[in-house]
Amino acid sequence: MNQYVTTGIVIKRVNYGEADRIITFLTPRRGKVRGIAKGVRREKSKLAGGIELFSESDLTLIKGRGEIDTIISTRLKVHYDSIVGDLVRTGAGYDFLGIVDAVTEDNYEENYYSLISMAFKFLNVKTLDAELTRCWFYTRLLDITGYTPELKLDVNDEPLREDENYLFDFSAGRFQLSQSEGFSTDVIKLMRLLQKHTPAQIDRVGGTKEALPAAAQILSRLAEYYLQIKK
Amino acid sequence: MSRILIIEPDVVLARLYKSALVASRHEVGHSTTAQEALHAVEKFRPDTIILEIDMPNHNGLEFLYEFSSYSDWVGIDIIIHTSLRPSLFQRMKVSWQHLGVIEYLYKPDTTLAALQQTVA
Repeated sequence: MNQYVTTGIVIKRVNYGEADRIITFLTPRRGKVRGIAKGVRREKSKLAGGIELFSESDLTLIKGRGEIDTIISTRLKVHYDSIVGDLVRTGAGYDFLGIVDAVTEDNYEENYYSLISMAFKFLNVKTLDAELTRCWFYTRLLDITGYTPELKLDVNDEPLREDENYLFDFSAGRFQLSQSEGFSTDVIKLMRLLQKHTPAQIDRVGGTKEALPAAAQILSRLAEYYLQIKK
Repeated sequence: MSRILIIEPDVVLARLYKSALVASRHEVGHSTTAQEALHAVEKFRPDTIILEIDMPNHNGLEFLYEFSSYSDWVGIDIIIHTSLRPSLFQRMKVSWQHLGVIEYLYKPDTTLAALQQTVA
């Protein structure tokens, strides 16, 4: 029997037949795994606990002939229950799942597992602003996919300066100097912090709250632009 | 006349909405939790769902994503009727339309007549 054990995070669940579900997991070493959980929609199913959203589980599967394996046992390792205890966090959590599912459709690399796992960990911390975690998620996603925005030089290869206003050129992935309104350098500083630090570290530094909505706007639009993410 | 499922944890409010919608000649069902509502949708097959997002245990957003995983339920309209402020709604950054939501009603600003009108 071609059986294997892996850790996984549920990224998608689709109902199948009377009582089954096809679950898509993200795993650290096997990439995206699809498995059928038989009878899981019945109340007494032993598989149900290990296929909860916003959790990490140990899974045992049997390799199928096609693309779909059969899940034979699940054990919940950790459930990020604060995510579903707060509607803004729940919305962000589903957003992350949908994006990771979309970007891993054609290619997969191990970094996606740690991205979603860490994003859930941060989202689960009630004292951390969910919007900061959302910005961090987009920053890491752009980094993994090779679309890191340039935050030192503007579109003319001039260094970004303090006390200036900038617009963001999405096709160039860089800021451009604005003569009138635009994003302040505080937004650029926050975007730089996001490239090097975790939401928890940035939260400890503080002083980023005002720049957060603008950074979120740029980063989510960048992800939409480059990764064709439709919302 | 249409079949309407109210998902509302507050039983007193649900009774009020139900009697108003029955008076408008609708057939009305009621569930107090997201879990109960999933079973109710399967049995009752509503045309429209009136959903409170702010619910204990599984919240309304979880219900919506779960609901959208049932391909044969596509076409059931969802009206969000909630006590959550519009500002919080915006902060959730959810693509409501993709989840089947056709209308958002803020409870404190919505009369029973307005609810009846929206469903009709």
